[in-house]
Amino acid sequence: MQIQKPDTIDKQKVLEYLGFNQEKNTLTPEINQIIDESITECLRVCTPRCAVSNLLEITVGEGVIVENTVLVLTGNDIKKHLLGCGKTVVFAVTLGQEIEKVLQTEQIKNMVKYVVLDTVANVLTDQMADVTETLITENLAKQGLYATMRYSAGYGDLDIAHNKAITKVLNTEKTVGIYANTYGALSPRKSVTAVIGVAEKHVSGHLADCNTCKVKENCKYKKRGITCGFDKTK
Amino acid sequence: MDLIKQNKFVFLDGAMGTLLQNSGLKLGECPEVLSITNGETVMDIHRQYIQAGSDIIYANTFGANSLKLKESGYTVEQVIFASVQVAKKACEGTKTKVALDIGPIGEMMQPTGTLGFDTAYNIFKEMVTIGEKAGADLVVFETMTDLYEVKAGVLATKENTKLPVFVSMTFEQNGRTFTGCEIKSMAVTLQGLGVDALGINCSLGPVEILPLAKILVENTTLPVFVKPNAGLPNLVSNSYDVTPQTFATQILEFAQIGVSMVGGCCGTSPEYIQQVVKVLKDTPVTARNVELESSVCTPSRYVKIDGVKIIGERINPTGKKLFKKALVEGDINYVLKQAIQQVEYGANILDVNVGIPDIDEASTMVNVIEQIQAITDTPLQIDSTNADVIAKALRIYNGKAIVNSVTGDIAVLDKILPIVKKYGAAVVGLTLDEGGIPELAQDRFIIAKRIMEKALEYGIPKHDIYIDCLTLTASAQQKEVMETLKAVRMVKEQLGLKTVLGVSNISFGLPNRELLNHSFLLLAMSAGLDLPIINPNVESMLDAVRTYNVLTNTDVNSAEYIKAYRNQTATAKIVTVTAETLVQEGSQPKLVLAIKQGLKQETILETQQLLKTELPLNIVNNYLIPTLDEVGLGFENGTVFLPQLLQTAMVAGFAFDEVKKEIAKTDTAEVSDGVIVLATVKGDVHDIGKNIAKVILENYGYNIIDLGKDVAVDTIIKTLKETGAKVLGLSALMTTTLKSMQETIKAVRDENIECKIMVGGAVLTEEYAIKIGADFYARDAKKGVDFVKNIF
Repeated sequence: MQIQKPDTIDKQKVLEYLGFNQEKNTLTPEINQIIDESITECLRVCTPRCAVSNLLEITVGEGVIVENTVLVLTGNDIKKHLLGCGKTVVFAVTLGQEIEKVLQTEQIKNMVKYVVLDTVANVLTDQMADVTETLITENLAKQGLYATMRYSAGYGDLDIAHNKAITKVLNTEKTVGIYANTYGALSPRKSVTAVIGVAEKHVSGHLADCNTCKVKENCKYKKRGITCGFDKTK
Repeated sequence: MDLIKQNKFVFLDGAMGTLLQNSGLKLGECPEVLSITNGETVMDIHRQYIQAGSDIIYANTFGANSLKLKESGYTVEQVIFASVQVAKKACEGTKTKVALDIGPIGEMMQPTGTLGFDTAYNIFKEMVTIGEKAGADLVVFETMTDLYEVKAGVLATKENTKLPVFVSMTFEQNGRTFTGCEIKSMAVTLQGLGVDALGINCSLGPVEILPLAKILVENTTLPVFVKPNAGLPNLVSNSYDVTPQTFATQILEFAQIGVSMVGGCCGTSPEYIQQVVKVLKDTPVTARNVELESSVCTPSRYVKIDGVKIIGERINPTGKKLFKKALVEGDINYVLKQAIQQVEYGANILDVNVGIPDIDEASTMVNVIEQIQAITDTPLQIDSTNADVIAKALRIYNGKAIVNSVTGDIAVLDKILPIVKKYGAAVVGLTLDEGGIPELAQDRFIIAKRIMEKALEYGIPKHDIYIDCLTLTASAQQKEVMETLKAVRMVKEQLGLKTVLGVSNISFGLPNRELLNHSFLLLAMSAGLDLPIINPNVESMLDAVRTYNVLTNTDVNSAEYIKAYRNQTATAKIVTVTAETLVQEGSQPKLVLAIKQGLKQETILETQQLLKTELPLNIVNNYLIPTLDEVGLGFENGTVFLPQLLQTAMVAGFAFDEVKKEIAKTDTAEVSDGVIVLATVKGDVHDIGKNIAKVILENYGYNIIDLGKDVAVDTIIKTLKETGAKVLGLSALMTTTLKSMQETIKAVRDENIECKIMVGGAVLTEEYAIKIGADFYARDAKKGVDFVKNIF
């Protein structure tokens, strides 16, 4: 199903993702204009869609078994995250394929625009995942259920290859046009999948922290002594 | 097949997956396996549809391909045989036919995804050959969203079986599939490829599909079928709300527009089909009078040849040193820039010619077409006279192309026209033959007629035959200029064919070529020229076409004209506001400042100035490299952030282009300092890091061979061997594809190729890079440059 596009894309986040440092860098009018144009263009081109599962039962054993589906979530971090949850909702979000071609063209035409637009699209993908997550959480709340934050394949030790099973369970190829390849890479690239834990009493979830993060060695936030925001332990 | 030739409705079946889901299937599991493990249930569903009145049932083979069955424990052969057998058994004693049902493979095709055209072809080939052996009566591709994938499937079926092929694609309400394919493009491409029936299924209910089906029936002469869902899904209950009775009433409207086969998709059941049969069985099929129009397309862009449409001529190495060099060196970006520029200026179609000695024309053509169609959806004209090149190009072209060209020589026609027919392209016939170009219009007309008759004989419809009456140079053959125009008029009026002319040839050897080209174009259009092949970057040529389309009432309401010119004054104003101003800082040279400040025009001008007094290589070494080093250092210590770094690199690139032009003029030493091969490894489509590294490295004068993303190990090995590159740069974003990186490195080492390997990617670490055998871990593009500098 299609999701309503937001009015704008979080420019602060775009700057942050681009590595902009308020103290050290100056935002030139040219680059500022490219960012603004990219935001407008991204919103014009994208058709965000989401696929959301029903409430699915989970059993924690060796891995987290999502009952009556082909999905088994393996890794310690996801177990921690889903602690206390008896159910889950799985979802996927995509910006669609249109932005892909625009990016391909910009890569030839204008590298600055390409990198900025790619970043803008990443921020919009996050925003659309936020919107979907909120919708799900609110819906659960109406049923008196509590939800954890979303947790995606690739966080902590939850292997990105889980995307294959998640897309199958959601039948995303038919419902929203997302495909996962053998390695779990999603196409269109501006897509994410995620798992939300559901419980009858309050749960906070436990998002992977910096220590288990895959990019801990290279993280530009960590170097600056801050976090990307996903690590809620800090 | 006889069934679809009768003047009566053909009833298809309804949902299978939905019903099987209720029989204890896990979410995400392959329902096709149930044909083996629970054949009775599958057969029972088939029987219910047959009893309801289905003339064709779809076997339970939708996802029975090698990719989706990989983890099922069964082979494609086992599943397809079982599924077709179950269906055939259910049909025993009835006239109901069994279709081998084929859905999307389950991976996205290149360039967006990683599934290659040939791989898709082979996956489908396996399915259809087994399906035919198992006894299927026809093949149906359904719920398809990617026209390219469909093309692979249709070719696989037609080249390996004798079975009829039906294709139905699934659209959103805006009339496009998820991949952006529009209905008209689907219709003309697939009719051209020789499928037997076209349809629309899934995603929407009958009410929403009706307007889409209208477009389909108006753009194909083939039988049309629909299989709608039982309405739109109810988001609360996750079910479908349209009842069988309502569904059948809604389906009735399809009969009125000429749809001749109907069934159901998600949410439907035998009861729906029963109701549909009840309502429609005595309704005659509405006859359709469809006249197909001249058109070309890519999936997302359909170009109708009405009024004058521009074919861009710039992708052609003839007489262009830099273009030739780019082709020889595999510098695909050079070609792509030409494509983008022409489209931005207003080309409706792009001519693609890569014919130069010293290169393999077929593989270059294939590569160039694949790359162009990754970045633009403008349809292409394949410009070659070599049958092998044309066949290979048409095979991988995504949509309906034009072949440029055949001559009136019978041997040429017999060789090329069958290829044009097979792939459903349009073809340009040149009015020349063994005897050369006739002087008189009448004689050229005779050749045009011969070409038309031969093409019709081969089954190429009239609307796909275009004639080029050949522009002769006014400086050499002045008196024949008017003969060309006369011939254009005759072909247009007497044969009713579309016409093509390469316009620029008229002015060869004369001064002020633009003026002559422009005037000739006006005369030619007025004589009936539909498709001028011109340089769209020349404003006066575009002006001529736009005004002509207004004055002849083909640009209705002057919409295109207004779009092109309404901002003319406003644009001029904007230019004044954003005019570049160089801010002088200290005693730094102007070129250095211009690059640092990201000023494109200033950089080009300054480089041109310096080239008057300094050697090209001095400019590189004394101005460009030091500037890039300085900005690179700023990036390293955080005072310059990524977009600024890239802006500098981009602007420096313009300076490099000027230097290269100068060097090409004098044929002196190369700028290039060494060859570097870059690739994002197999399975990975995240190539932004690699692309950034490329731009930065390029600006240091290295010759970069960019193999793109998802690159197979073999391709990398082959390129390293061919080019003797001293450095290989690999990127991977995901933990799962680091394995591919490791395999690639191992393969390079096993082959004893002497080259240094640098690797980069978010999840890589120095330790891991060394562990998998790389020579260097490049944390960012700057680090990559530092490493490479030490090697060359």
